[in-house]
Parts: sequence; C-alpha cells; structure tokens
Amino acid sequence: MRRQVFITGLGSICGLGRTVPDYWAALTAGHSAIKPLTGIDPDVKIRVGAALTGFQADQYFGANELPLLDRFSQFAVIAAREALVDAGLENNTPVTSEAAAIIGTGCGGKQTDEETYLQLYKQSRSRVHPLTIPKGMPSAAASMVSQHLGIKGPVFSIASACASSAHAVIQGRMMIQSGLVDVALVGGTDAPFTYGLLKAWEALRVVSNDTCRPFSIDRSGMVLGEGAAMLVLESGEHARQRGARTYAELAGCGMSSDAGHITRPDVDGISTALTRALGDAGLNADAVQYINAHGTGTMANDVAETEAVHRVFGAHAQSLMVSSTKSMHGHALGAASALELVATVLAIDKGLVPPTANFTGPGEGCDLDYVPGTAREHGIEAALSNAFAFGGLNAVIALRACDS
Amino acid sequence: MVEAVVFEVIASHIKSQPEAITREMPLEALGIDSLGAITILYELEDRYDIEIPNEVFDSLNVVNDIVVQLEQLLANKASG
Repeated sequence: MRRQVFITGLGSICGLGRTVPDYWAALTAGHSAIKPLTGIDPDVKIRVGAALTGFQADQYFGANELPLLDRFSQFAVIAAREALVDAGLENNTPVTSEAAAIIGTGCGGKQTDEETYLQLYKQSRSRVHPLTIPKGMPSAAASMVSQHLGIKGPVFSIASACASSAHAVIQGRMMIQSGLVDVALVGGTDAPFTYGLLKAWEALRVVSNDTCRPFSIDRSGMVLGEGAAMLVLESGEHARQRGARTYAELAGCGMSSDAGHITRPDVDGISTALTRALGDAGLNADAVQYINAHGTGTMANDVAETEAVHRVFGAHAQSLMVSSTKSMHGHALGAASALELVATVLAIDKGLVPPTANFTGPGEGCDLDYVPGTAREHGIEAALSNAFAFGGLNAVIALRACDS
Repeated sequence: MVEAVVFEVIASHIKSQPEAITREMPLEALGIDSLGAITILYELEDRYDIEIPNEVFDSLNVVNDIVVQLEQLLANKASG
C-alpha cells in the first residue's frame, strides 16, 4: 500500500497578500490584485499586472544575504519560511536536514539576467557582476531555500512553464511515497515583471490590457502575476508521530502531455490529466465538489478546460464549483499552481470556495458554475487543482479532506 | 591612494569601516570567501577600468596582495 501524503504547512506571497492569512482573506473577499503597473517602460504595451507593489526585500533579508537573492529567490524563501513555521517545523533540525525541497519556476532569475544583458547590450559594458550566474540560474531559488532553511535532502528545480509548481508538488509526493523522504517542501516562484519578459508576453498577444475575466463573455486574456507559494508535504506516519496539523490529504496526481500545439490547449490532454488524477486518488468523479481551474482568461484555455470538465465529469459537471483565482492573484507562471493549490487546500480546510472575480457572464462554451464574484460556503470532501502549461504539459492534483 | 580604495571596497563588502582594515589581514579572516573575492575584484576592475587576470586571483591571500597586484596592473596600464 502506498504511503499517504498530507499537507501540513502553507506559505505564500503574492500581490494579494504577503502571508497566507492575508492571501486567503483577499481571495475570499473577491479582491483582485490586478492594477496598473508602475515603473514600466512606456514602450511596453502590457499595462496591468498583479505585482507585489511596495515590496522591500530588506524587510525580509539582511544586506549580506541580498547579493545572492534574485527577486524570484526572495519570494521563494519568504514563502518557504512561512510554510515551515506553519507546519511547526524549525530550520536546521534533523527533520529539515533530511527533507526534500522541490521548487518550480517558469522564468528563473530574469531580473538578474536582464539587468546583466542591459549592461552588455545597451550600455556597452564589457564586464558583468560575478554573482550573475549563481543569482540568476533557474535553480537559484531552490538553492536559496535550502540554504536559508537548512534543508539538506534532495533539492532541485522543476521547469514546466505554468505547471512548474504542480509538477514540483507531484515530485515531492512521489519522493514521500517511495520512502525516500518523510517531509518535502514543494512549490514554485516567479518574478516576471521585467522589461524583456513583458515584451515577450506582449508579442504572444494573450495578455489583457484591463483585467482577467476567466470564463466571461468579454474576457480579454490573461494577466501576469508574481510571487511564490510553498507547501509542506509529509507522510501520514511522520505527521501522526509528531502530532502535526493536517490540512488535507494529497490524494492523487494526474499528468499528461499534449504532444501537439505549443500554446493551444488540447481537450484530450487536459481530460487525460483529469482522469488520471481521479484514478490515482481513487475518487469517483461525483465525489469531487470543487475544481480550482487553470482558468487563465484566454479564449482558448477557458473553452478547452470547460469542455474537458464536461467530458470527464459527465452530468456531475453541472454540480461542480469551478473557480479561477487567477482573476485575483494573476497568472504567476511558475508560482501559479502552488498559489492555487494553497487556495484549494484552504477551501477544503475552511469549507469556503474562493470565487472567480471579474466575472461578467458566461462566455460561449463556458457553462459551468464558476462561483462568480462571491466566495461560497460549502463543505468539500474532494477537490482538484488544474495546471495546463504552454508546451502542452498538464498536471492535475487531487485533494481529499482529512476526515473523509 | 590604491590602498585607500582597496580598503574602502573591502570594507563596503564586509559591512565594516576602512579604518578597520590593514594590509596584513588575511582575506579569509575578514570573512571573504572566493565569491567575495571575485566580487571585490570586479568592483576594483570597474573602478579602474582594468582587467585583473585569473592568475592574480589565485595568488591573493592577504589584503596587501590585492593592493600590490593592483598597483602593478595600474603601473603597466600607465606605461602602455
């Protein structure tokens, strides 16, 4: 029999709030962090985002620590610290020294890279800062989490674009199930508000210029966000032995790849991931009450995701609550699915479903209950969290209430 | 002059004061590891617009080594 895996700690930082309680309060109030971006080059057409405005790294880190911490690493360490404390674990203890840390990122240390390239390409400088590599490398956040928290087990980074942190969660669960570790800190981080990345997203023509309205008739695209979210995963016996609080069981995971179009979502691929997650968790489709949707607010995603839910859930699809919290925290890329998993965990824990903000009425092909505008009290026994990345990389995570 | 700049850059890097630095101090004792040393050299290269070769980096043990090497490189630069 496979080991059970539970979620015993949560941490997050994003435009909606710098701690999990603040994040949850804003989510369930239906607040959106999407605002006009400040300090952005006038040349950038993307004008809105869910940024961490006013964030000051020196409130969290010493001057001697900052030279190695790109913004995406800062977010990762802040969220990781909160998750560890929330789990009742301490830094540099026997538990953390044996633990794993798997950190997803879609972008890596872009702030560091772009500042460097600006100096080389535009300012004609011939030398760059010697910490450019260790600060900007995609695995820097994982290394910084390891260093700051004393995590000495398997530590690495996972990159699968917008599903990065879902894949990180799944990898952590597999390590616990295999018996390799008892505790895994998993999640993701990204800080994509850099000139080059914004220009690249602009070129894709999928970013809205006003706000993110998932599943709505007048939706106009995704809106970028930034931040990090981390979860402490723990084997059932380890959690029981130390009397840990368990938020939910990480009951199952489903992964698939479209092997098709590089950006267009594929109903078959999404359906396969959903079906595999249910099967892995041993859940009947009608046992699920809530899905935290990938819900980017693009024309293509929202129709494909809705169709896949119908295909997999049949008549039960009409009974499901399906919300996209990206309408509030934006699309934080490599952090997105971890932020959304935290929201899904708390929806189970609190019996409260966060809404889809900015909903203006169902778009064509979007006919599910998207929990528009207002959070809904509802006991949840089982829930899914969806992540469907560019490149056709799909990951669905199934959660079950601890007392189910 | 070079000594004052080296002391200033080192002090800034280790969050200390230039007056607390002496030529005899081992870099290791100042808490300067290899990453710290390359960062200090980078700042000195930038300040003087010179290239400090990797061989020089390998020979640095005490603060005086940086001062001497830098003075030599600046003399070479001045003589063309």
